[in-house]
Amino acid sequence: MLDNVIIGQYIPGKSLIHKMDPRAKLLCLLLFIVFLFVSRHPAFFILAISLTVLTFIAAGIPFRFYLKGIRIIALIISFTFILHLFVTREGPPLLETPLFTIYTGGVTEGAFIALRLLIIVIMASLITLTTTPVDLTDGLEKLMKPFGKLGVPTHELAFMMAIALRFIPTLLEETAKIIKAQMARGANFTHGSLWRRIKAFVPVLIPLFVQSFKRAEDLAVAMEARGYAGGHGRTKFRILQWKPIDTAAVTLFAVYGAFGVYTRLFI
Amino acid sequence: MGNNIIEINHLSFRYRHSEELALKNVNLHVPYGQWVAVTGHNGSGKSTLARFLNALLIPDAEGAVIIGGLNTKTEGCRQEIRRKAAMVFQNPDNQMVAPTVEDDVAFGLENAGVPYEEMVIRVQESIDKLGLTGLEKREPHRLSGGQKQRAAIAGAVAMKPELLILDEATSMLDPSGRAEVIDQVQKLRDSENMTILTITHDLNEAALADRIVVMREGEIIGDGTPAQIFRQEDLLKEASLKKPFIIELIASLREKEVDIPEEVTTEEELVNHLCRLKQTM
Repeated sequence: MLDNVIIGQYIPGKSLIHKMDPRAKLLCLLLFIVFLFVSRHPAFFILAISLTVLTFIAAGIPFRFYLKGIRIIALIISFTFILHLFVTREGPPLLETPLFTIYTGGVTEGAFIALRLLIIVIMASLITLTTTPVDLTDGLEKLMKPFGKLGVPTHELAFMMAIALRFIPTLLEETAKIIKAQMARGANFTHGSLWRRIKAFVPVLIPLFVQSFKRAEDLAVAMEARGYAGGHGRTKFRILQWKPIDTAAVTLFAVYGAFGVYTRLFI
Repeated sequence: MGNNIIEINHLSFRYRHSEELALKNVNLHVPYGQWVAVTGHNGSGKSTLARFLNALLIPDAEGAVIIGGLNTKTEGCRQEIRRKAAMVFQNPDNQMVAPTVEDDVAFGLENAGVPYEEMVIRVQESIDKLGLTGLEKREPHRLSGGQKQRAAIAGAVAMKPELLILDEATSMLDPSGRAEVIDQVQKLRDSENMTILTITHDLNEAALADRIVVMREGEIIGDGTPAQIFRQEDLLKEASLKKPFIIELIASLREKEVDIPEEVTTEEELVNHLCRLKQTM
C-alpha cells in the first residue's frame, strides 16, 4: 500500500548538475529567484528562460518528472493569472462586458507573473531532482553557518531535518504494518463516506504516535551512548567539494543578476 | 585492579517512581578479553546493569562502576568511558541515526572529532570487518534486521572499544539474522581479543560465552562457566531460564551412559566428541 512512495524526488544520474556542490545549487537558485523579480525587461526574461532551458538540458532529466511539481503549483499559477486579469487596471481596455472589463495591462502582468512562477518551479524541481535529501540538508547547514553566530542553532536544525528524513521510510513501514494489524481486527479503510474513512485512521495514528515517541527515546539513548554531545567539536564524514564548475555556475547566475539590475536601472 | 576492565562494587539502584530495587548490591569483576553473558528473566535487572557500564546511569554514593580504570562518577571521564565501552541496543530500527550504513558507522567517530582522513579508513575497516562490504551506501530500510545490527556493531567497532556491550542485540532478529550477528561477534572476539558482554535471555547464546552471570530480581544468583551453570538445575529453575536443547541432549545421553566430558557445551563440540567416540568404538 505504501511501498511505492518515493522519498524526495531524487533521480540518480551523472549529469553536470548532479555533480555540482549542493551549496552552489542552492546559491544559484537563491540568486535566480531574487533577481527574477528585479526586472521586467523582455531581454532579461529571455536570459532567465534560456538559463532555465540550459540547466534543464544539462540535468538530462525527462520532463515528465517536473510535471508532479508543476501540477501542484499550476493551480496557484492560473489563480494569480486570473486574479491579475480582473484586478489590474492598466493600459487600453481589451474586453468590455457589463460585468467587468479586462485591460491589456492585466493580461501582460498576469502572464509575467505566471511565467516567473513557472520557471521558478522548474528551477527548484531541478535541484530536488538532482540532489539527494542528505546532500541538500548538508548544503543548507553549511550555507546557514554564518547565522550560527547570531544564535541560530544551525547544526541542530540540519540534524533534526536529517533524522526526520532518515525515519520517513521507517515510519511508512510501520504505518503499513499497523494498517494491516487493524484490518485483521476488522477495521475498514476503503469503504464508507469520506468522514468515516478519516475516522478509521484514528486507530492507526494513535499507535503510530506512541511508537514514534518510543523510537525517539531509544534513539536519544543510542546517540548519547555513542558520545553525541551537540555540534561542538564534531568532525564531518561527508565532505562537500567545491569544484571549478560550482564557481562557474555561481558566477553565471551572478552575471544574470547583474544584468537584471542593469535592465532595471538603465534601460 | 589492573587486569579487570569492569569493576562493579556494591551497586544498588532504584528507578524513580518505583518501589523495588532494580539492582541489589551487585558486585561483578570482568578481566580483559573475557566474553561474559549476563542472563536472566525479564525484569531481572540485566539491561539496567548494562546501562551503568556505559555511564548512561550513574551509581549513587555507595556503589561504584569502574571501566578500564575510569570511574563513571567522574563527569569528565564519561565521554572517554563511552569510547572504551561501546554499546549496541535491542531494536535495530531505533539506533541508526544516519541515512546510510557508512554515515551511521561514522557517527560515533564524528562525535569524537576524529579527523576526516582517519575516519574514512576506520569506517571502511569496520564495515569490512562486519562483512558489510558493498552495502556502504544502503539506507537502513533496505537492510535486513541482521544487517542493521551488524551495521550498529560496525559503528561500535569503529570506535576501537575495549569493551563491546550487546544489550539483547539479537532478541528482535529472526534465526538467520541472529546467527549472522553471533557469528560476527565470535570473529571479533577471536581476532581483536575484545572483551564482550552480552545481555541475553537466550541460553543458547549464553552457552557460547566464557562465563555466564545469572540474575534474578536485581541480584546475581549465579556466576560461572557455562558448564558449571548448566549443571545447577535449581539455579536455572529459580531464574526461570530454559536450558538449551543441546545441554538437555547431553544430559539424556549421559543417562544412557554415553561418556561426555564436562567441557562439552555446544553443538559443534558434541558432534566432534561423538564422532571421536564412534571412531574408537
